[in-house]
Amino acid sequence: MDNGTSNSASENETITLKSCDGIEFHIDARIANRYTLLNNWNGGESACIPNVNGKVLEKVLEWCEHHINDPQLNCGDDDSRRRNTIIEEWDENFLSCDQDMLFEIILAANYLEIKPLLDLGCKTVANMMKSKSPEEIRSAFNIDNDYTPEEEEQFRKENEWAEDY
Amino acid sequence: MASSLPSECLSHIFENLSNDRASLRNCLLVNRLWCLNAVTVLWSQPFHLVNVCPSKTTSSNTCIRSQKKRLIQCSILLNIYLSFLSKEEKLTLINNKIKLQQQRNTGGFTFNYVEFLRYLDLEELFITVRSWKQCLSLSKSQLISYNNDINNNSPKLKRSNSKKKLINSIKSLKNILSRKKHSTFNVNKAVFPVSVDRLISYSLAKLIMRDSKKLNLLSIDPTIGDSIKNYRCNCMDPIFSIDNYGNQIFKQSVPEEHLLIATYPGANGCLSPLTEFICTTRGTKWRLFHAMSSICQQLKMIYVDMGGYDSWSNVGLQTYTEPQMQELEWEAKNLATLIRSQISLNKFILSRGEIGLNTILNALTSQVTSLRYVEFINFDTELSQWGSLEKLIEFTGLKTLKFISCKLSDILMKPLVSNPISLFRLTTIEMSDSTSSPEIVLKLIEDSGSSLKYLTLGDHYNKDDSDSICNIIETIAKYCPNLVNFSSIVSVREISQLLTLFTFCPQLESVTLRQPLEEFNVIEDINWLFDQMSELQLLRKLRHLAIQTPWSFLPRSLNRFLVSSNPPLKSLEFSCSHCFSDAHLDVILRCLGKNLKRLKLITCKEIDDNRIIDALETIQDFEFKPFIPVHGSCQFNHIQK
Repeated sequence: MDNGTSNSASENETITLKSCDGIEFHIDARIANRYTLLNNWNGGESACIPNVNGKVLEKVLEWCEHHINDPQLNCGDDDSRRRNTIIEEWDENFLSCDQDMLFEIILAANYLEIKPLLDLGCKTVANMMKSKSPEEIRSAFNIDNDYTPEEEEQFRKENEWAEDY
Repeated sequence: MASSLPSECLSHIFENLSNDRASLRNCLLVNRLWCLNAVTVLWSQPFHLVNVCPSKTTSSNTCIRSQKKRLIQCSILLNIYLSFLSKEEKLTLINNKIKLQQQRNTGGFTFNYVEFLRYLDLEELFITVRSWKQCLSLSKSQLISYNNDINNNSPKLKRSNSKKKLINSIKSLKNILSRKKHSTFNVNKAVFPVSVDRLISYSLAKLIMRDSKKLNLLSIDPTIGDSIKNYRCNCMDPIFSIDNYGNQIFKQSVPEEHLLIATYPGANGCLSPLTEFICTTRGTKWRLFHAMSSICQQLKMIYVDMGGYDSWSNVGLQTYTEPQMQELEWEAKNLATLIRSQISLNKFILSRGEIGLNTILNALTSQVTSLRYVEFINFDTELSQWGSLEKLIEFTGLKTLKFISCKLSDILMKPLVSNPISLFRLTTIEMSDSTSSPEIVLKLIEDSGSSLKYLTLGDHYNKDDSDSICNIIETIAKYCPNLVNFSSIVSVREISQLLTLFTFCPQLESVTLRQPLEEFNVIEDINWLFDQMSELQLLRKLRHLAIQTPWSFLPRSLNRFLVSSNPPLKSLEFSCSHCFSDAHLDVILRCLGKNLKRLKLITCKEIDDNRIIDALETIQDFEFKPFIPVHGSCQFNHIQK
């Protein structure tokens, strides 16, 4: 078996995870093993996941459960230049949540080192930025412009070659 | 909320836009934090990005960039790079009668952009330099007419109706004009020595070796970067020409002296982190291999063309004189040294390496624990005995073995399958456009067994032995239950075997069936196959189906299959079809609707215009070509969304 499910945990074994706000989740041990969710486990009755609240952890676990049988990718396969921005239908529906939740999921995936979910979240945000002007991006993501007008003009000039009309 | 994302997440997001220069530029202008993270991605491969087609990297389907616009963008980019040359280097260019545009000194730039370079393709650099030179010869009036082009012909501008953008573009154009006015050159009168592109690209290559701290990829590739060549902008010149023998020859732009790049000052630091090396130029490469073998030890991927040099008059004939063979052997020896210097090579692609093959394969044994992927391209070993693939059987960790456009002799291939107990556990076998005896293909498939997931077969069956291909499909059904992807030429004699294959390979997600050339007009009835598939509910995981044969089936049979097996089809293709009609299209639209993302139809039946409009509205990527079969050739009209 090279699909990443070859761990010692059996199908029926469950593990309890506790979010930072104290909500408990009983999950298939294979999920915990596959996505190294037990890094913070100190051997007690349940593993505590600090920094991730119950609402977000629930979403993350839902994703992990759906993708438990996905093949594991080698690090060598990950070349950003060849990355495409196509997203599977299930994943697209899964991430069609509000923007705050989407960013929370990205942060949680980053914190928990669930690379495929981090990739997926980042891909989704990247798709949201396509064909948008800087002003449109700022308003879509509620970001302040901290450039001085001179700085902004300078960057415009220095990166003029990348402009599209 | 987006402002709370840490830098590492932002970088990750921008990497997903790495082929979309305009989006990266827009992100860079959002705020300072975004700039810091987007600038490194945008400038990691500027010579690639400036030449790629926006229509192929964004959602818009048409390229609206004119050739002039590309030239101007190349020129702006190159002028920034040229400003980072040292005073002495600039002086050398000026002494060679190359007049440089007056630029702010590099202290005026926010970053040293050269430092961000990660992916360098010398062909792309050279194309950019040539465009820079061409741009200098654009007259002021041409630039003004270009300005009018933007106003009159740019659909995006009209659509976005963004006054601001328009003003910006005019401003930037005026900016170019005024800079031209004040710069030291007079474009119309500029007289360049012939070697201006060589001198400039030489200076830039030296600058890159000196200033760029870390290259990930070095490529000298007339085809422009393997899989990314498809992104080439439509407004560029074609990349190949046809030689006297009718072969496609990729135009080579990079001068031979660039193959000394690894000996330039700074190359030690710049090239030591290199992980990918592509060298498909037809120049003399041994010096490059030699210099790199003492610098690069981190290579994960090597892709080389080891065929004859451009300067040889017999290139294209596949036969070499004795001194030429010695030359190629010498080059293979230097490549062997480079291979041996690597700590852990994963992927090796060899094009036309018949001479020196044993030397190269021997060297590859030093990578036995890490090598996962081996591909051979354009091998012709049928007429000569160049060597054998015996060494490959030692690569027990190999997962992918590909032969693309190869004529494979038994002498070459036999040792690969002669071991009674094979240690191979391949997940991917590809033999596209390649010929090989069926026994060898059979054994390879049998040895890979349940590991095999992706299989593409070429022209591998013995025409004198009508049973041979039947055995192959049976063998696959018998030994490869986990097959996900099956693509092959299928003769009408073996259609019945497909039912066995579909029954025993329940994981199949992609099936591509092509016709043998000699069966271009054999219209075989396959209704029974669809009926059986429906009855047994086969291919329930099928996402891609391509039937590129003239086989005939009724809409009713297709409907039954789609309803009872209910496959999650995303992509469908019916080419060379003699039967596909309005009614078939109705079935597809009704059963699959918007779930189907791509449909390609090449049929000699007429399709009603309204149906085509329905398909265009429903299916994201719909392509329709009516064809008239005339002695195996097809005459197309083309309708595409």
